[in-house]
Amino acid sequence: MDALTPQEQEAFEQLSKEQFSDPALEQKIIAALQKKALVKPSKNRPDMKKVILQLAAAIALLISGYFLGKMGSTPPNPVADTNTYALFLYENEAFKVSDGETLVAEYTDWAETLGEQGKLVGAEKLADAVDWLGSLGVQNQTSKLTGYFLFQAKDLAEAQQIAKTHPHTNYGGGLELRSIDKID
Amino acid sequence: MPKRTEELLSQFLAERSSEHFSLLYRQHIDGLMRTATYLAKGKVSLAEDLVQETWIVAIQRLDRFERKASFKTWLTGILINKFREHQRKNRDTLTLAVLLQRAATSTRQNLHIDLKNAILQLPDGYREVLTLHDIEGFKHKEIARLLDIKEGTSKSQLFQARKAMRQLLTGYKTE
Repeated sequence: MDALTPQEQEAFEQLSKEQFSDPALEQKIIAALQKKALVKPSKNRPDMKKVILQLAAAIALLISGYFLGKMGSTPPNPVADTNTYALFLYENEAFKVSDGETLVAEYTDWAETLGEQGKLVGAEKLADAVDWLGSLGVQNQTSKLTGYFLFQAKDLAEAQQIAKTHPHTNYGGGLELRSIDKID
Repeated sequence: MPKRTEELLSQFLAERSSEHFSLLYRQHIDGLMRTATYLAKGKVSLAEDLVQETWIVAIQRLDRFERKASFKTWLTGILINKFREHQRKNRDTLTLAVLLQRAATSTRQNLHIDLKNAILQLPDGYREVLTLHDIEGFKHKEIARLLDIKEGTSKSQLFQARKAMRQLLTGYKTE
C-alpha cells in the first residue's frame, strides 16, 4: 500500500477534525422527526409569549432607569476617553430558546454587569411589526433586527471583547457591533 | 461501542424525546456531515438532505439496531445507502481526465484545502474509500461491509484513490 507522507497525514488529520455545528440543521431534522412522530416534542419548550414578555420586562427594566436611573443621565463612573458603540441583535429561524427564563437571566446579567461598570448607555427591545419604507432590495431579508444595546468602551478592541460576551449568539442569534460616529 | 453512545441510545429509546435525540445527534453530526459532504462532492444542501434522511431512517429502525457494528458505522451505512439512492436518480458523468484538466487550472492553496478540493473531484468509488479510510478512520473490513465490496477491493481502491489524489495535487502545484 502506498503510504501517506507525514504532510499528507497532517492534512488528512485537519480534515478529520472539521466540525459542523449548525443549529438550524439540527432543528430542521428534529422538526422532520417530530412530523413523522419519531421523536416527542421538547418538554422544556418555552411559552414564547411568556419569554417575550419576560425579555421585554428585562429590557424595560434597564430602560426605565434601573441602571441608568441610578446614575442620572450619565453613567456614574464615566470611563475616560470612551467611545459609544451600538450592539444590534438579529434573529432568524435559527434562533432557538430552550429555556426562556435562563435567556432572560443571561441577558439581564450581561446588561447589569455593564451597568455596574458605568458603561451601559441604553437598550431597547424592538416590536415585531416592521413598517418598511423604500426599496425592498435594500431590506435585510435573511434576519430581523430585534433589539439593541448602546454602551461605552475605550476603543474598538474593548468593545469587541464586551460584545463577544453577549449571550445572543449562543441561541443562534447574530450580533452587529457598530461604533457611533462622532460628528463635530 | 463507546459507553457514552450506548447510554445516549438507551436514554433516547426510553423516552424518544427531542432533548435525548439532540445529545445523540451532536455526538455524531460532525462525522456524518463530513462523510456526506465528500459523498455529495461538496454540495452542502445535498449533504444536509442526505444527513436528514439518514437520521429519519436511523430513528425509524433504531429498535432493530443489533449493535454488531458501532453506531457510527451503522449510521454511515445508512448514509451511504441514501447516497446510492440519490446517485441512481442523478447520474454524474465527469471523467477523471476532465477533472485532472480542471485541477490544472486551479491555484495552489494550503495542502489540506488542496487536498479537500482534490478529494471532492475524485470519482465516486475512490472518493468513498478515501473518505472512509483516511478521514473517518474506518478499517478496510468495515469499508468492505459498508460499500458492499471485497476487502481487497477496498485496499486497491484506496491505493488508486491516493494515486489519483496526488495527480490532482500535482495539477494544483503546476500553476
